[in-house]
Amino acid sequence: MGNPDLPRNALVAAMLALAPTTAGAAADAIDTDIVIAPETYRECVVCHGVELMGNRAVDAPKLAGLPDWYIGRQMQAFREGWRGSHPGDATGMEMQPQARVLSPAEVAGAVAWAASVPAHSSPATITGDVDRGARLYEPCAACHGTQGEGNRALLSPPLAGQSDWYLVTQIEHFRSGVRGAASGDTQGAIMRAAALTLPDDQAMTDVIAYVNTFSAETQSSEEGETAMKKTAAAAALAATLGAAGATADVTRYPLPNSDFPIAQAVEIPAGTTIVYHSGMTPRPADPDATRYTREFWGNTETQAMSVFSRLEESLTAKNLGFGDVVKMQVYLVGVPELNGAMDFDGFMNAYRKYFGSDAQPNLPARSAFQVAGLAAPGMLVEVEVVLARPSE
Amino acid sequence: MAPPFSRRQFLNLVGTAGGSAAVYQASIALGLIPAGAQAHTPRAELLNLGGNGRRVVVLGAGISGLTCAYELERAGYDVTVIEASKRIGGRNMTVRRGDLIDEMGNPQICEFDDHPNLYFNCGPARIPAHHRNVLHYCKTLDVPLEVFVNVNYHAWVQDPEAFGGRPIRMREYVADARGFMTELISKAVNKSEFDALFSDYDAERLLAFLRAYGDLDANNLYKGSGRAGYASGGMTEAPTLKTPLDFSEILKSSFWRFRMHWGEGEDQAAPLMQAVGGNDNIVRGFVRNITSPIITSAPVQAIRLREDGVDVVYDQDGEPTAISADYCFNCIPKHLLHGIRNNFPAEYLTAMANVGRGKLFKIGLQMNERFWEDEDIYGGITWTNQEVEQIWYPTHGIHGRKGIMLGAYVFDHQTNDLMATMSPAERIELAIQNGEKIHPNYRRHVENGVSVAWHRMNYQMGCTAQWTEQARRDYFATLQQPSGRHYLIGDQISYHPGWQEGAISSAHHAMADLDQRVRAEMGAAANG
Repeated sequence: MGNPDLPRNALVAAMLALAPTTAGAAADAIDTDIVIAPETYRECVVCHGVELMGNRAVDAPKLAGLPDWYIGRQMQAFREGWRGSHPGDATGMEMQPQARVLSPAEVAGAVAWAASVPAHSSPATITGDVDRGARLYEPCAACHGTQGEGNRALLSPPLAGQSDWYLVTQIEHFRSGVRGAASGDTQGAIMRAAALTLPDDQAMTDVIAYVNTFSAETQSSEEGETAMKKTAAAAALAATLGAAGATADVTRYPLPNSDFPIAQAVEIPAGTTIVYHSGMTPRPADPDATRYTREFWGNTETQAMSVFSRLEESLTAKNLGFGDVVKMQVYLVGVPELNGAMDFDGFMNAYRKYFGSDAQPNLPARSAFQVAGLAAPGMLVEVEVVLARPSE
Repeated sequence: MAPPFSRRQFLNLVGTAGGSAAVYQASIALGLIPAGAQAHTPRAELLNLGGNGRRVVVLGAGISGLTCAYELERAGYDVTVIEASKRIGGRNMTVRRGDLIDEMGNPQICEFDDHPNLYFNCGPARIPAHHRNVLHYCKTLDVPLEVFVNVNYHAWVQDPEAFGGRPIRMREYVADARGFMTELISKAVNKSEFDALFSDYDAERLLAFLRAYGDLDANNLYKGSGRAGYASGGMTEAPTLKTPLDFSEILKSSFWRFRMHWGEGEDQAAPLMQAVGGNDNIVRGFVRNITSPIITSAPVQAIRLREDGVDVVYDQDGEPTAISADYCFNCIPKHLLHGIRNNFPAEYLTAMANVGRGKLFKIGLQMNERFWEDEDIYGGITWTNQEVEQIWYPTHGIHGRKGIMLGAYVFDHQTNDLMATMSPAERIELAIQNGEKIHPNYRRHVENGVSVAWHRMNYQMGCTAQWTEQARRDYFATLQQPSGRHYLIGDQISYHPGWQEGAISSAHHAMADLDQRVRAEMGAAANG
């Protein structure tokens, strides 16, 4: 059993509530009103339960009630390995081959089917301090909605009506880095930072106890997220998360009359902990290619993406994030396609994915240089950063 | 005072009330049957209803479900078996060429050559001589058996931590370990502490025992033993004893922890048996002799207990299909029952939730020649402290060209988790790397292989049920008893999880209870 720490009688309560409510029906009329899985997706039901109501005995969460975009993204996560690869995530590791064995068309079909299964209510299996949970939930609402309805624009899943024991497990996983620390899991990294702001273990139970008060009928908000709403949500989250960069004391001076995504200057008051990070170089794009060729390393944009991905792993492991970066130095090697000049645009394509987005608006002071060469032949990109650690 | 009953009168009365099982138990209590015979669960002797239409639905066509179907249809019950998988047999599964290994996320097709000897028992592999119920059905269902070699003193013992990782013949390890131990004890026999415990006569007998047990010389010293196998000679040349192993290396090896004594376990002691041609011939024997419908590819969706019966809804070709019965016998793994709609009582669900989901993993490898026979190995187990833990050599097909070896049988929980995350090809590669440490040309012989992670197999997701002592105390009785007219059965509801004898015994325990109820119902009807 994966969660021996949670009370068994709570599980039983949940199971009982799943039972058909046909007490008054005639004895000879068998209730067959059950959504059957198409044959291709029968295996989903083996673990996730009939009508995808979840099965805690095999640690499989309820899927009924989740929107297609979220299920689809998690299937993608398992297929690409940024979920279900951590040794501490035994059940995620069980899911990974399941997601990978399906063809892309089957994944799409499974997602569409799962999202179509109507959700029945899942009663509480945990107890906690709901009032404290309500206070703790305030920053969560920025992304997950005030009623746990989720937010598609932010890729934040609905929480209302989901298996509460599973939500607690996932917060534990985010806090310990079992989830949200993998390169590629950009949303997970945000959630990990958020989960780390919970003051103690009891807070996890309390906040989910509050989530349990939401009506499962609340629909995931599918539309209507204006850019303003997104920005507001991101700002609200950022205001809560030191880890997302909005250390109250750091002042970022924007470039005047420019939307170029760097700061003119960043001011850090005395008493701030400064972290100097070594230069980061890329991983080979294709390790099987001939060493040090363009195929081996990839072009400037590919290399820059790899550099940021590696930086993200390193920062996450130190409870830092790109939002904490106050100063960056970029070293680029010239490429023959541009007559020996650096591919600045290629680098910027990668940079913009990490800096200046709604989710991560904090901009560093930055310099970029063309250099004659880096540590290994064929390397085109190296980035070093200085960070201001958020106050506890 | 009423006249006393004779024993026979008493047993007749008990039989009327409780059936033959009750007679059997009472007979043991009265000392009429040797106590040793209690070791197995008596088979229920069911009152024949003469086909009066009592309906039974059996959920799961594993060994316990098939036992119920076979027995109940013979007693005149109207039986339907519903099985989630396309395959009948549950964890009794033997794979041959073309068979599907239905692992969740890692389906494989067996690529063994098409040959009667080339099969792999993925589930139960050995039948102990005291598993009377399994043996009864093998006999009754015409399933021929042959002897299965479990322990083989010629096989190897290997541990990366001892003897520099060099494999040691089990016989050498055992002989030398015993020699050293007995020599040490003999040195203590004449000490004053022993004088207080033993008479001179006892001390002499003890020393003689130690000499015999450890093969010590006349001076109670161990100088090596032919039991370890000779270094040379022994037929036409004079034999030369091997130099005894370094005792500290023996201690470093983990072999003594439980593997050295494996063959002395209750269920592991020689002789053991297997079904000729594959252990799924037991399943085939049942199926040949069952006329009731066995509906396959029909996963159960809902189970609803009623006052006077049990309703079941299953998925048949995508349609929710209902069946209603007077009684239900259910061997669906208890951890999967939680994902099926039900109205089980709270205490029943609580009990189920407190039984863990075990993990077991096996690999079968087709070898292009039976190289182990050139190493004097015929059947049995090589033990290694590497990931694969065990290598088994097939007992059957001796001196044939090829053979299917067991390349891994993993007990360790973490290794089982690790193996489950690997692709089938990665698992085979790991098995080869481990095997090479014991048989240098191992890789060259491997033609193909199958891997079976029982905790990842479709409709199983576990093997075997994990009962803690606390869970046994608190919950076993609850699950062994019926809930209304629903009986949870299978090896999971026995003290022998992972054994067919546990499955069959559980089925008979439940059927004996059913028989009593039906007899009572019929008695009430007759009186009414």
